[in-house]
Amino acid sequence: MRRALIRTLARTWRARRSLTVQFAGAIVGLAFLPMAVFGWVALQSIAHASRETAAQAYVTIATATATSLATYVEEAARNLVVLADGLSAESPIDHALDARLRHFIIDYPPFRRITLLGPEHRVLATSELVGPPATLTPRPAAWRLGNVTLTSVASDDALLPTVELIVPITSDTPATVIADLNLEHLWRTVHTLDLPSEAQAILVDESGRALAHSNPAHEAEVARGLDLHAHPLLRPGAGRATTYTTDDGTEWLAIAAPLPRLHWTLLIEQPTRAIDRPAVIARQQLTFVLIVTLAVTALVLVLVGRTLTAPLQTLTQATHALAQGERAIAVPVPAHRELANLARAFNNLVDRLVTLEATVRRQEREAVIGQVSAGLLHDLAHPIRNIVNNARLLMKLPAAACRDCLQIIEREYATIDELFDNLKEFARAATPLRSQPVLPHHVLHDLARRLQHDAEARGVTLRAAVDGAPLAPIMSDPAALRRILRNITVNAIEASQATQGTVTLTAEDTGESRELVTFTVSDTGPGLSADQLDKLFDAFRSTKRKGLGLGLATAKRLVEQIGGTLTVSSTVGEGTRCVIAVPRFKAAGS
Amino acid sequence: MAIGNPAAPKILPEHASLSMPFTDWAFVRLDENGQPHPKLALAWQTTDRRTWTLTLPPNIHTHDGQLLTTERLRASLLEHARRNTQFQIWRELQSIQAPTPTTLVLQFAQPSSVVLEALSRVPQQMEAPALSAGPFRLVNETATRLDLAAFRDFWKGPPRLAGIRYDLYPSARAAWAAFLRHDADYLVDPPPDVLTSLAQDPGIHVHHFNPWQFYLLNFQVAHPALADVRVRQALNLAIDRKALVQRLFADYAQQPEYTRLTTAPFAPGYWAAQDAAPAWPYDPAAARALLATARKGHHEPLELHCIVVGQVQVLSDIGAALEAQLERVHVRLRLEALPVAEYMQRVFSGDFELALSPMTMGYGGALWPYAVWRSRDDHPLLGSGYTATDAALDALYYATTPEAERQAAQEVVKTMRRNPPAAFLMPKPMVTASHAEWLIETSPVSTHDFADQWALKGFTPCAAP
Repeated sequence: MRRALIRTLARTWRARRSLTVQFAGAIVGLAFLPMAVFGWVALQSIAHASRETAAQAYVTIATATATSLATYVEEAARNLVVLADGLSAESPIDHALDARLRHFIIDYPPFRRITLLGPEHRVLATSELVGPPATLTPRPAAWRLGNVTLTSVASDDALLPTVELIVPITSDTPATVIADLNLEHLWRTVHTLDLPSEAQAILVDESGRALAHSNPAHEAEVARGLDLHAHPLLRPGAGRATTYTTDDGTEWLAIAAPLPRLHWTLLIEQPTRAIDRPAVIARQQLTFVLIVTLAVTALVLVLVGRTLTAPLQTLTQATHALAQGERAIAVPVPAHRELANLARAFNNLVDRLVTLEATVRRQEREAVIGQVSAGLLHDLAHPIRNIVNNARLLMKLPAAACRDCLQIIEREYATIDELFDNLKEFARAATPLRSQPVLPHHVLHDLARRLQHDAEARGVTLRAAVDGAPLAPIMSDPAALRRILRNITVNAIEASQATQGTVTLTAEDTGESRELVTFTVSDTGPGLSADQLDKLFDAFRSTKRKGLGLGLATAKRLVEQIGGTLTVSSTVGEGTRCVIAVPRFKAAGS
Repeated sequence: MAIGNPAAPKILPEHASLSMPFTDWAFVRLDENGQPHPKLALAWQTTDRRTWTLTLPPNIHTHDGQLLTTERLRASLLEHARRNTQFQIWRELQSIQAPTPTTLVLQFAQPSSVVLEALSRVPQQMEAPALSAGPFRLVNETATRLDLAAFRDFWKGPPRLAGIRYDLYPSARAAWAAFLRHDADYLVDPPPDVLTSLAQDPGIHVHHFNPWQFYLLNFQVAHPALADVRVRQALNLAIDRKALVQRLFADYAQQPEYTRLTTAPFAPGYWAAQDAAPAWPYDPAAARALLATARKGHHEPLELHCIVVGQVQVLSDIGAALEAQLERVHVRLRLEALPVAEYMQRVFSGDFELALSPMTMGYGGALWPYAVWRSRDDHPLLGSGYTATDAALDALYYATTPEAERQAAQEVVKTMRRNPPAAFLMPKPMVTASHAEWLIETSPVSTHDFADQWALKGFTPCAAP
């Protein structure tokens, strides 16, 4: 299907290609292809560089942020250790420590609540004003940061993530400081990260629970305990960067940065479509530029090409008109020098052709006049001489003897009259023909009867071979058909006089569907040479002593007029055969 | 709609204070500048500020299905006056007449500037008989939840919301977390440190309202240590209010209305008290010098007992911060958290040295300051204990012209600056947040108007943008 389409297009292209299109196509191709190739290579480079740049930027951001977040926790731990050291120096521990713990929180806001536990988890002091419990059980330890133990992240009464920092203190009364670290500070830090469009940063704890999300829209998920332990970068042995696809089909570029000395991880990720967006935009821009350039270039080239080829098209049309006989032609001369020369040459050619044609017509006319004059001179000279001679003789002869001379004068007059008839017949051959039913056998019988006496006078046997069933009538001009057969038959009789031969007339149906009627006139005369055969139907050309040579020319013209064909074959010494094929019905419009 | 609300001090029985703006409909409302506007009373008239004629709409139904007749209103107002004798205005109410079914005529013993302010707070559900006629009615009440249903016969037309559910959370953080989980549609008083993140969330609308409460540290002027005005001045000088706002209200502190420091018990927008006196500067050296002069011969730190309403984290934080700041001038604060009922009982009986609490001033003028700081012969432990302040409060209370009211308010500020009955700390932030699918048409209004908006035109559920 596709191949057929391509072939069709190629054929169409080849069929319709023009100098203009080829010219424009070549120029556009030469200009467009290098630009397209260069653009494509540049876009690939941009796309590749975008992802690399994004990855490097995220590594930098993630590392710096992770360090900052780790510093936050470490600093909180250090401050707590300082508080614990201060408390350990005081002995005994008493209730006045409540205020100190509260003031510590005022100075170090990251802590929401600090509790001093004595033996058996008994609460010795607390920063809380209201309702301190008698005992408090720390959550299980998860990992250590120096002298500070961190518990796993848990949800508090507000279902928000908290972590407890535990510092043992040594004094006369063994005690432990437990501080609730305000994890909201972590996600405020994550919130304020300056990330590009659609990028997000997520802080996760050692179990994969999200502690903070840079996108406020995901805070609800974080509050619900968003679990990311299945994230590709949080699996054991995972690297620091990867691309992965989520269930919704979005491909992400993800970077992981572990918080130094802590067991938490900061993830920064962005959909690759957002990273690739500059390349996509560049591609769209390049495509737009290419299309516009292509269109403008093609348009300009077509316009220029049309300017160049318009004179050629004009010349082509003028040539067609010239071939069809138009002679009042003069192509405009364009501004371009080469095309102007061509136009001038064509115009000169037309002028020359007109001159030549006029000369030829004049020479032909003069030749015809010469031929007619020579023929008339030739054919009229003898009768007129005879008339003159007999007229002179009449003046000298007695009246009885005048009879023969008068007969000669009459005969010569008949000869001259026949010459004039032939001339009128030749001229009349161009008149419109009629169409009516004609019986072929009847035409032949009538012709044979009319010429029988003349043939016998010449010692020629004339036969009309019309045996068999009569042929069906044909639609033709009977006068024209009779004239054709008569002229050819008379010519055959005259040609056969020398050999006292035979002239045979036949008619028969021919053609695959008997659509033709073929008349044949054959004689047993001396035959014609090839040269004579070529000039057989030329007007005013005759081998006989008498006649203008118009009989066969007239016959030839009439055969063509009734839509038939006339073929002649002849063998010198054996005779000549003329075949006239006439259509049973003349084609419409002929 | 579900409203997430941090547990408020239970000043009123049950949680009536929360639902009241929706269930009850006061006579008038005051805008942020203290100017009155019609509410239940369509119009009011007075020629001498002694006799007030209120015009009411006809055919008002209360939640019990009965018509709110002027006779019922009269009985309710009289009961209200009987129960609220701590307010001078109700002690001076002489008579209430109902000459027509839509007219009430209140006659007071003396002209007063606070009548309309007082009428902006009644009728209220705590009165007997209850005359609740607001757009919502309370249908269910538990320790952690209130259910309000739309009152279809509300005289201004049925509310658009079918109902309101009030969920009470143990802390602002808990309410905020519930809001993030979409357990609540509307959040009241989000924790100060999350305000910025809420404002940055395109799916959340944050609404700021003009403060109509503020935090104060009330002094018991009858206490031997606090009787000396220099001690009270020193305490005011020792408090770093800006640091307090910055530390405790974090992101709120970026809003200008929360950084306006006050030296008198008036709302920041109260028209009559504008620019009366400069705020207290933070000057611990001056405070120490004053204390040394006042406590000549005493070398031990001044120890003061401060009661505070418990279970409100922000008050605990303010208390701890004050504790730390005053320690720098050798004043040791002994904080004691009390249940709200006990706290109120101690305050109204004068049984305290220092009392830390939020205080509702509304947008009005003299009503509350007069009730709290006008010295009373029958109760020597209450009031400012300063005759100049008492005189200024009297002048404000009985002002008969706006100019007299303005001069008196300025004088109240000056006398309280000179002889402070309390340390006025900072306005209480009034911020709410709603998810984007809930549209609210906001304007700087009080909570009463807030309820108006909910009931009449605001909070139309709409598709998320």
